[in-house]
Amino acid sequence: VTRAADVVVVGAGWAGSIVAVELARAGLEVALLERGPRRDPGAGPGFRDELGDAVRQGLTQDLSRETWTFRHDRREPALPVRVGGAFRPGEGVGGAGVVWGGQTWRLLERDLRLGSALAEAGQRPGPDLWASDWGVAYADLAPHYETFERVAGVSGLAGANPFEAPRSGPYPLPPMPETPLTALFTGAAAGLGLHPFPQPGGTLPERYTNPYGIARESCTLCGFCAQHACPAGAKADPSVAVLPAAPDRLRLLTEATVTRVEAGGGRARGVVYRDAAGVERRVEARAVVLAAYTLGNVRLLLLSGLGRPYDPATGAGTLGRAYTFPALVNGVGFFPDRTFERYAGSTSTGACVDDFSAEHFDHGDLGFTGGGLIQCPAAGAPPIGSLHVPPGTPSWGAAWKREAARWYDRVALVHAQGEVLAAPGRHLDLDPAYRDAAGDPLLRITFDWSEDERRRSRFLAARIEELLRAMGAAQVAIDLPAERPYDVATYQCTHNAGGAIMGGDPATSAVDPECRLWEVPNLYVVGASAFPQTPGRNPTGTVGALAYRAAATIARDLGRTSPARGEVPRTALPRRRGDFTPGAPPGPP
Amino acid sequence: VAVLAPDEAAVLAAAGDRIFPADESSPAASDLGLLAFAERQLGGPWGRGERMYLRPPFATPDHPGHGWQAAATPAEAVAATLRGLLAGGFLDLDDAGRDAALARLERDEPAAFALLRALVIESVLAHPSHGGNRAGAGWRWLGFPGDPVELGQPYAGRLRR
Repeated sequence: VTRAADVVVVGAGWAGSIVAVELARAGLEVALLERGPRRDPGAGPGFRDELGDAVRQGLTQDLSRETWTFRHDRREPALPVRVGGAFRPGEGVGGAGVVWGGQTWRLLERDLRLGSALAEAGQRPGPDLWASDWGVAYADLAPHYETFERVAGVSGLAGANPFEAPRSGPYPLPPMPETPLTALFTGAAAGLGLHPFPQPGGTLPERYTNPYGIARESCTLCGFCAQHACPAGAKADPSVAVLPAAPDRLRLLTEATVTRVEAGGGRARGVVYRDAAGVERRVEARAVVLAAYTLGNVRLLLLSGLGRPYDPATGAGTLGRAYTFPALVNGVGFFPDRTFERYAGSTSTGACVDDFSAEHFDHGDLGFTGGGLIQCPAAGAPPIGSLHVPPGTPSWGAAWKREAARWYDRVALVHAQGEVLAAPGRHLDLDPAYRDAAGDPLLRITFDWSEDERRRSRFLAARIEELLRAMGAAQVAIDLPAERPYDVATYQCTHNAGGAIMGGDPATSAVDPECRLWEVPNLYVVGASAFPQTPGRNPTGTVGALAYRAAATIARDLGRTSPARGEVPRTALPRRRGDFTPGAPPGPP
Repeated sequence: VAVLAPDEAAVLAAAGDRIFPADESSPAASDLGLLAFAERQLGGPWGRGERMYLRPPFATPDHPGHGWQAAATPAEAVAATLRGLLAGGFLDLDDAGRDAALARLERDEPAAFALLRALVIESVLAHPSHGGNRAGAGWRWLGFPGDPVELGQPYAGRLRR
């Protein structure tokens, strides 16, 4: 059975939903294929289910069907991630965009030209580390950041962060309200001479109607954001902020697992997928868009025999090269004499400092480049996942029980997201031994921390300790994942990057600056797979901007013009809103 | 059909009450519904490992960072842990003896202990609909105000008061 479309898009997360909706609005017939189900919000359990969503991971990738193998070094055999996972790609309409936290950043201008910027600053990455330019300048990406911010409804305070890249105007919404925690952090950071500012995020502090004419309600600060679907529709999610704007030209196929891209003669012809019954089907199209998360994009290309696979032994090839993952630094401060009402918040609520990112401080002889964002989230405190006890406390029994309750509302978390550069030994390829439920090879991840991340992490840990002490913490505990072998089983963040990186040189990048696969120019690979290295902040704002930019490119390549934003024709609103809308219905434009 | 045999369930209750014992702040885990919670979890999709990758080959890594690599489902692994404790005479020990047995388990089989501990803590703190956390007593112990759906809009108001 074969369908035909102008464009077939793989994956209904942020990137795929944006590209699909924009191209359909530009007049193209679009097939959007999503491996997971469409979820009806009314079908949930009727309560905030921390156990089912966050602990048992009911909304993210089903590892029994497909997982990844992992090794720290290419000389050792890889083992599969059997349960848990350091990262949790989405599954279902909205993808990981359903369960993200909402923290929405523009990159710094220098992030997008990191190789050049470090050279100009006289900073040399360590041996065997790669810092690359993206092939796209901030000025080219800025309008697309703005579009994404308006669609998601990003809250924030322009100008509060003196280090942020230039903006043409304010955030669409004011920042989330201050909490006892963010107020304390802000005062302490200012007292240290730093430049605190409110967290920009895609969670609404007030009712908002986006440029597609979709209205969403404001956040109730229930604190069940990341790993959960927002029942209020306040957290931006492609299924509530983008897909309701789909015209009928967009056909969304769920439980459609794409297994191959079909191509020949330098042209992609379409994709092969399995439907819910396991029947193999095809969609033929003039353009193919991969938007299946960082890891899914790279695996599909490798399974399809496209691109030039990277060989770490020779350094040749580009596909699978430059895989990276953020080096988090997690601090906990213990405050015996005060409480924070931590349970009320959102993952878009917080205070940050950018003073220790990039070249914003003197690197002297620190021995690493760049740095990372430091954040104090007021993210809420779902009970199972918010237990902190001082170091040295037993992990169970009467003493643990006493301490866990004592500190539940008397801790502040401050963490950093350290930049991570690419390296020759950090890469993705197909596993020779382990296979998915359908018999295809799993993606194999080869990655470990280096001295570079350890140095950066220790520096950021010292800054976190200073901040927590200035806030009045009596005791501080800081976890540095980079001090241990990379732990692929314990959740860190879903910020995997690279493997199909963008750039201006086909010798070192897999996709061109327009996200076209160099060898197959009607095959577009969109998402954080294009990041040449991991920047020191959350990726989704940039994924959204790249997706809007790719949509404009694809429309142009297919002879169409993108509709002007802000001018949404009435016909663009869905006639069958139930097809797409697990959250708030679209309101008047 | 019960997932746990009666003596396995007895060990789980006894171990749970040492991991999360009664004190002035709350009853012990078994009095909050540990066994009902565990039956449903171990007998459900999670216990059966329905979303786990359980394909061979299985190997034991010689260094940390790879997580769970056993061939067992969570239900099988928890039952094996409970049978091990039972064989060690766990039910015949006094509180100090049970604490010592659990400390040995934590030292010698950290992954097995972590799974047991997690099950107990989850039973205390998951939404009462899952069978534990009887009448929200686990949340009251911790200071978590309760499910925001049930508390409604006043929940956000708590922050601004």
